[in-house]
Amino acid sequence: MIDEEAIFAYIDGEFEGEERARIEAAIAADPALRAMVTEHRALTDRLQGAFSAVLEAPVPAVLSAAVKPGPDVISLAEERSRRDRRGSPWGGSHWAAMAATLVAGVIGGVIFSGGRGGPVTERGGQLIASGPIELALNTQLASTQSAKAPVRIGLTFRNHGGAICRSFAAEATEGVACRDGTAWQLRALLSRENSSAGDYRMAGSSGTAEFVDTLIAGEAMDQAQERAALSANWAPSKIP
Amino acid sequence: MSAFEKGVEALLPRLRRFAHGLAANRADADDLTQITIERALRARMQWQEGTRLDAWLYRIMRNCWIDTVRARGRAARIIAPEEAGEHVGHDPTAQMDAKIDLDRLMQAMGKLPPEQREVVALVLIEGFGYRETAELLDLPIGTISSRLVRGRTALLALVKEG
Repeated sequence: MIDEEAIFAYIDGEFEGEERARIEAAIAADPALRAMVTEHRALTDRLQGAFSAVLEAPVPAVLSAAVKPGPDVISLAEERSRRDRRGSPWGGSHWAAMAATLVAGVIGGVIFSGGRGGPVTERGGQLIASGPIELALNTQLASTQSAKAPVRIGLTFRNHGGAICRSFAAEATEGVACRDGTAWQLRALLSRENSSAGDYRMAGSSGTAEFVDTLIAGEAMDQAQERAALSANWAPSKIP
Repeated sequence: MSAFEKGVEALLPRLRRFAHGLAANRADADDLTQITIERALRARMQWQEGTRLDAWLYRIMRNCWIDTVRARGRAARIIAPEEAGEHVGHDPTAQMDAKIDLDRLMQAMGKLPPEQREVVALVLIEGFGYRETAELLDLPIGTISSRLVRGRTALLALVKEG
């Protein structure tokens, strides 16, 4: 007896060798299965035939144009490769990318100049939130925070690895940090050059939102979930 | 253009095809493609060189689409449902060319629940393997397999009745 999922996996070319031969034999011996396989093969062929029209059609100009960067966009890839050639002190493409963000004039050296007590420190090659940002990430709930808090928390959510991540906005910077052990590892850090105090109630501009989109698994936490996560000291979830 | 942009440009036809597999109609599909490109360009620092750009872009597109589906789902709770019959199929006597068939299939795909539609699009149309699809959607391979059975069985029934 071969189950339905195995038949379909066979149709989709998921099996090789003996397994494939075994299913093939079972199909050959069963007219009802043969009919089903024929019907589903035809469906797949029809889907691929119809949708190949999209593949072969010329790409609309508006879409090709969307790929080309506007004049005001700094090419971070070029910045990154230039930096890599120089020998990035950060190591690894991820940190090269973060370095490129810094080079792009986003936050410059300002944030590190405070040394101990500043909002960001470097530990083992990773950028870790410290000072007021760390305090807010550890203790502040989006639902109860003061409108005048120096660092405001936006969304709290889990990433694809199950770790808790939180977006935040301070007067000069905003970003996303994910819990790593007992630290908050910065995954994105952007400047808020044009913001003035009081202009960051949403805790996150579209720039931060894009990072959230690429990190988030499922939906952002609601008030109760955020509170529960705080009670659990921002522990990661077990991945099923 | 940088290598990244050239890579995205080269993948545009495939991204458009995937968008047509997900979206309800052609206009929505191209909107989805554009939103995906914009989001990918803004998040480009997140892409790690040496990893598959296609899988990364497919994932962004899928997330963009899910956002739209969720937003529409929320809106649907407060907005009255569309008139029944508004999306009734084409005249069956119409000439069956590839474009008409594409519209028909998109319409049938649109009736599948989102979690089945994305798996059907990725495996049957885009040709991803089960494991690749599982990685792309962050789901166990068994979930891919069972959703695919339900999705394609429902799709076959829809296509037959249409």
